[in-house]
Amino acid sequence: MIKQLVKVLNQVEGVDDYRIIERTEKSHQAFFVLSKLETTRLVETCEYQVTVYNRHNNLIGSSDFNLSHKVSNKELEKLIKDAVYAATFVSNKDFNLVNGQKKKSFKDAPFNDSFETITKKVYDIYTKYATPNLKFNAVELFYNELTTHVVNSKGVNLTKTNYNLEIESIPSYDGDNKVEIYKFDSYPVLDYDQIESNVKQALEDVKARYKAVKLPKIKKCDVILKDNDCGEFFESFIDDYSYRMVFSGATDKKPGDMLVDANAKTKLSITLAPSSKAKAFDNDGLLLKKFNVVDKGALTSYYGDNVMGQYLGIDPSGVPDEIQVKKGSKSLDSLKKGKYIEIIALSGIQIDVRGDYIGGEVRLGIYHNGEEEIPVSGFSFSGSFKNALNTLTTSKEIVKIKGYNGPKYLKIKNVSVM
Amino acid sequence: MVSNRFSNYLKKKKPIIKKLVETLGKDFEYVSCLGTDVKGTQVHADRALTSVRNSSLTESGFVVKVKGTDVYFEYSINEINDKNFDSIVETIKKEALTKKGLPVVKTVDINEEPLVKDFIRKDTGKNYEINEVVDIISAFPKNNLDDIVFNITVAIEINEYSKMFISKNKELTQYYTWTNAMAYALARRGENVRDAYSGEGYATFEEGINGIQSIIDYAKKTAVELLDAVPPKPGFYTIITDPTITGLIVHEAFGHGVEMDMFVKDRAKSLDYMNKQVASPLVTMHDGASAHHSAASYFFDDDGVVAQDTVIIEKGILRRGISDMLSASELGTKPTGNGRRQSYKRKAYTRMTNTFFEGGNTSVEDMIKSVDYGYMIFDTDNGMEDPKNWGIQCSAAYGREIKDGKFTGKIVAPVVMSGYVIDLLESIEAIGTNFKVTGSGSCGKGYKEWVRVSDGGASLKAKVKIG
Repeated sequence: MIKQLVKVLNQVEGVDDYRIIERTEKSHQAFFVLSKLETTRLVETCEYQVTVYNRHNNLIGSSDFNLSHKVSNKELEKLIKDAVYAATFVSNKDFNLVNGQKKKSFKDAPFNDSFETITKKVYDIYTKYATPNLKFNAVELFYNELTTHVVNSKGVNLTKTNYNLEIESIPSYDGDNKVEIYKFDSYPVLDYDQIESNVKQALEDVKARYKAVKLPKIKKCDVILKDNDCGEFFESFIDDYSYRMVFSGATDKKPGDMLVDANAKTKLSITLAPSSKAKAFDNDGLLLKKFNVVDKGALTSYYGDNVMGQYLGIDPSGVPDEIQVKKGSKSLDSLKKGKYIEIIALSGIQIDVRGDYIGGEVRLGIYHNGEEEIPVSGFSFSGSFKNALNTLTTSKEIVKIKGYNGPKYLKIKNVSVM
Repeated sequence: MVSNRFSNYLKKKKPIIKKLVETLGKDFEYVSCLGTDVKGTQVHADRALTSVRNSSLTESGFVVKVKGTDVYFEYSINEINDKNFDSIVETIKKEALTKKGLPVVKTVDINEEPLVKDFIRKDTGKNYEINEVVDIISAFPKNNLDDIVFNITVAIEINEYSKMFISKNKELTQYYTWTNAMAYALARRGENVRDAYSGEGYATFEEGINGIQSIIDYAKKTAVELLDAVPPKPGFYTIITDPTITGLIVHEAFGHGVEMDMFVKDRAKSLDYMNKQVASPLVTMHDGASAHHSAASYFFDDDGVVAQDTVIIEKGILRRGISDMLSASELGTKPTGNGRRQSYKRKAYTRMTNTFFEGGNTSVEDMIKSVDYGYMIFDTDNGMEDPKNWGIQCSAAYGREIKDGKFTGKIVAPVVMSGYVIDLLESIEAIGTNFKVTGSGSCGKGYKEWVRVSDGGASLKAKVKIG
């Protein structure tokens, strides 16, 4: 359909530039309830997002439309004319679309096994360690293949194909009372050993939640966050340094400015990078590479898309999909000193950088009172984000999960717990 | 901007969809096809940029569902025509008739009451031209900036939903619209920067256009007030909720736990509490696409079940849950019209629609007067369900301190409420008269499957842990 789109876009008056994003999706899905298959699904779709740009009085306007099925040239012409009409009323400062060089394709390695095999193997892993009391009450599998093709009027013609397996699971423990934990894992490569390791950990976690008691009456404590919560911490930290937020005036910080106190325990280094070779470009068609946002606690560069970069007068970085954080020098064992709570599962970490807040309701934590480890549940922690930033210690153990590649653990000091 | 009519595309596809259902019906006991054609336009502006784009809900496609040899099978596609008809049939037969070689849930029959009906609810307000809307929206940010509020983002979005459900027993179409408007303000004093969001849902686009200034005013006022906010000291407090926070509590703390696909998966603590007291006797809770006219007011759900008003809690006693078609069939109950998909590409789950506590008879002023020390809590930020263990996490934008029955002027933010659902619901001492349902939010199940919902009620006076 791209040929048809390009042909008609080139014919309609008022189309000064255009961008087409074609998304071809194939997704096999399986849904298990109480260890039995309940539903299977197959998704096979191809959809187009078309943006038209109109320049008028040294300004630019844009409007888009979606296409999900075949249309005649006449129908397409009407859609384009409607979009041009809307774009003529939008008057933004002019910018250039990304210039393309040559047609390029990028592809991650496809999974070796068929979905049928994956489903059976994953089922075996998820039921292997189950007992009448300890099991997964629900497991959902999504094996996704997504091909994104970006074409624009300035010669961009890029294609990427990415794969991933997503598994949502609910480990549960039934005894005098019943407890569960929510887990969601995304695997860009098929690694059964990693899946098995995550399954074992999930069952250990829910068993611990079953045994969990109320947190002893302590008011302040150090906490250790892990995995996704670490990723969200750093994502929130750099949010204000996106072109969009800088352009809106949300921050005064400039490259070179320190973002943490001079006496901060850890001087963070954070980069943005594509998570795989095939995640090579963004929706504007900008080719992505690794770059520093924060180095040794100081802001090194802003980040963002093509338009906002040009508005700030910066060579646009594009938006890579992974935050990479330099690992620390301390092992988890050395972070485990004194009294602290290792937070295994939160309802969801709450971070408000402007409101200087970090906290959350803890569904499972392991409280170390200096002598023994006690699973604890049903409490919350809260504290100052700035304090967390300046007192944090990052682990030398690292984790690579969706959107985050960096220290697996981070310890923050002296938060309130109740 | 609004067509005010059912999708021509789906209308044209009706004969081939009927043929598909008939063809597959020879091999499968249950066959249905849901066609969706959602057209949404969003106009968005801040102090420097204006944009016109499709809403994130815009989509067009089909999902075919059959009862296969082992389990139910669904096929999501965005094209059905004479050319690919045979290959669609072939794919469905291949996928649905193949033995899976795994333990399977015993497939239950889906029993459908026969129904043929077309439903329509037009936008009855003024039909704007796109140029008018761009002019109106792009003027708001510039006209509302001042020395403290340095950026305002404004957006208005209308979605026109056309859906067609065809099965052996049903032939349904529906068309309806809903408008959302939002404003986001950034305020600065020195290095202190704070932000505030405000959003509303409207039955007509015209109401949305007319409502934007008040949304902006609220977001501005809140952002400025937040410049003086401090985090609350963690502790247990008497609180009064505004209707959005009541909605957050109804939805997150309790609503997810009565979604009956959770019963099927043994994930719901509420199953053990059926016909038992779970809340103060003042509390009566509803959910349903026909329970209130708001963001989730469709005529039939994505399983083709007609919208209902389900009374979940009656005077503090848990009476029933809500369900999608498959969960209801597995549980041997009647579906309640709560089967919803994020899109035609995703599975239908039991989902909330318009969820609220009925209003009470205490004025908010009297509630405030009755508080020795506590907070009135405003504006939903986010929340997370815990259906099996009834933990609460509800996050609000801010709270106003109350001392000796009066606001002190002190603002605390953010306000993160946590604790145990039953403790909170049983602590409700009074319910206000200021009933309001807000239809501007979206809800996920776990961390995915986002659908538009509304929730609300009236102010509650209760006790909760903050911090």
